[in-house]
Amino acid sequence: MNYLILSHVPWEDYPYKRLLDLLPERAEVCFAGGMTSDQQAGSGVRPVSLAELKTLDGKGYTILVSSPYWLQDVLALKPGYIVALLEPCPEGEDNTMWDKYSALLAARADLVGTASERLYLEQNLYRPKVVYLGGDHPLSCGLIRRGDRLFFLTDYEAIWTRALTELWQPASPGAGGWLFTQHRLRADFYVSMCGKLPAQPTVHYLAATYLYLLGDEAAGRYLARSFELMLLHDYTDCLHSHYRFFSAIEAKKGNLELAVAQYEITAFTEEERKTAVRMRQWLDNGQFELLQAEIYRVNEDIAEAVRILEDLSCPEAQPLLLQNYITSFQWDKALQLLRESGPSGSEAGNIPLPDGAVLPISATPPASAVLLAGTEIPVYGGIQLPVIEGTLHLLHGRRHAAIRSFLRAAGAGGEARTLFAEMADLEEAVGRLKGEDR
Amino acid sequence: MNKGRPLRKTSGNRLTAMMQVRNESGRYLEQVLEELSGFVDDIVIVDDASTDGTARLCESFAKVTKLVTLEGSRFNREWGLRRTLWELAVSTAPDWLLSVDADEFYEEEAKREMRRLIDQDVYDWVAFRLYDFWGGTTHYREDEHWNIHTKHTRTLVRYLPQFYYFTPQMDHHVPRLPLSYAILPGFLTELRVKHYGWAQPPEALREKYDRYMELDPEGKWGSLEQYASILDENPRLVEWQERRGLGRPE
Repeated sequence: MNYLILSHVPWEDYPYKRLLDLLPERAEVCFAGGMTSDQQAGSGVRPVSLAELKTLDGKGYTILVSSPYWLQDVLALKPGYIVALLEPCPEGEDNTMWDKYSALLAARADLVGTASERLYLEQNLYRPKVVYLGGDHPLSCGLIRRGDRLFFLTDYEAIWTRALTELWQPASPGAGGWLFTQHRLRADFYVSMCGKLPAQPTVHYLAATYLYLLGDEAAGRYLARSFELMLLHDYTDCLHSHYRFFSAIEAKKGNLELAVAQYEITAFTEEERKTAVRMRQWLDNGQFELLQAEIYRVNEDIAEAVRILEDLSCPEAQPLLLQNYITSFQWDKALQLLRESGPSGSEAGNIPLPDGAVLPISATPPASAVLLAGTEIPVYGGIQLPVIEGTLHLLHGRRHAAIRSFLRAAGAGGEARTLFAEMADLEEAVGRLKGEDR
Repeated sequence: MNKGRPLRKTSGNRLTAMMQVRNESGRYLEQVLEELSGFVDDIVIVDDASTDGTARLCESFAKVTKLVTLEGSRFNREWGLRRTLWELAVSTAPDWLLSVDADEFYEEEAKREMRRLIDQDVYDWVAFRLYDFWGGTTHYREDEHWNIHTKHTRTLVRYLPQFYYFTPQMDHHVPRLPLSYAILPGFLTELRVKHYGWAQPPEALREKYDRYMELDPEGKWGSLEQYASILDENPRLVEWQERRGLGRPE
């Protein structure tokens, strides 16, 4: 396998050099940017210029990309596989823009890796294939020979190589997954930490989170203790962060009635109360999958919600799936879903939206027509659909189409200046990234 | 469980008062029960092994629908006492619970507003201002150690059947209601509650001081300075003034 590295920093600062040594089926490894001859000799990595980058046949490469501002190039290269190595926003970068484009990059990636446990947990709630590039397991978990060098693998390095290999060699369904293995390792670590720090609410919360991801019923016990410790420390701002989590844990156990009751306790805004009413209707009508998906969504476990909704064919599932795609920045899938929801797929050519609005659909829908046909522009969580469409145009290098979409959003009451400012900021950030002396 | 009815109701809420008592004969219990009978639907009481006919007094009130008399006192295991009272109170299927001590009186305005306070779906608890009356029922105490009225005390809570209720397992100074309510939205009213626990003559205050020092000689559960201040010869007292028209939630 050939690998192409699109880094957020010059080679000398690249933090994943050891992971490159462990790449499975490693053939050619290229680094976009400058390298000295010593660096090349020491690493076995070949530098490629920006000009050469444009000529590469992406299909033969797995791209390891660690800056979201490479996203336009990644999409243009159409690589065999995309591995997003997510970084917390570096100093000097705009936090909002970094996070947004990191989320868009992760949504397009076949595999996500990160050394930040915060990002790791966030990503686990968005998608199924995420590797934590850190760990606390004291023992060696494997061995790799590279020429005359021998590498003893840490727990996460072993998982990293396995996750990469499974991109092109999927494991048999019966095999224990690497994702499960890593969740188990993290859960065991935090459960043992709870014994050492019995009065620490965050440690208990993290234990509960990993146990929840594993589907382990002990999650509820650790969450309860975390909640108690929060109260004892007078940290009372935890209705959504801690208490609502009980509803997701109960949903995973299949206790849907209790899950709804727990959610209702936390529902105070008008939107939350409407959601609670809808949940109870689904419970009473026996629409358990929809209900379960919705409980996961309100707990920000989009990955679980999407997993359920993608398998459902009932009409109520579609707007929920759309909403989850948008929340998790799977915007291509969202637009694809809208394209497929032609008049045959919904009454009178409309898609009902979860908040009660209706999205009108053109009879002959190319992607843009779906969005342009209506007289009202739907908004999801503050995101207008033309903004989504415009952003995707931008990422695919269709600058004029992006501007048209943004103008349309602006015409509907949006702030054109903000959208164009973000466009300029992105271009500047990309320029900065590529202008660095590599 | 909750089929067909909202978790938080804006009308028809049932209010249960809950209290624990012990040898209240000759104190304020009768008056408290008379007043409570005027504005709550049920009263539940745990009698902590009284030996002076307190239970008979409780039973004489029609609204006392549940009364449990413990065989041995749990005063030194307060958490267990609180739990017993809580379980008894929720067994009445209440919508709201009012935690009352046997020497606490809600001012007239508070009693009048009680239904408005509970017939809403915005707040899950209400906190009042408690005043420690001192030496009698005309003045409350206000100084460095006696100023509970400058804060709010949560005494009225909505009962949410599936809520995770947590009360710390302590022997003394256990909060009267589960701590879990702190995460839910509450209403801080300016309505007042008169606490007559210290509205006693100097010799009775001395007895209380001696009891506190016997129970907690090292100040593990409370402040030794505050215990000592019980014996102040000239505490700062403020005359109580009746008033109206405060504390309504919007």
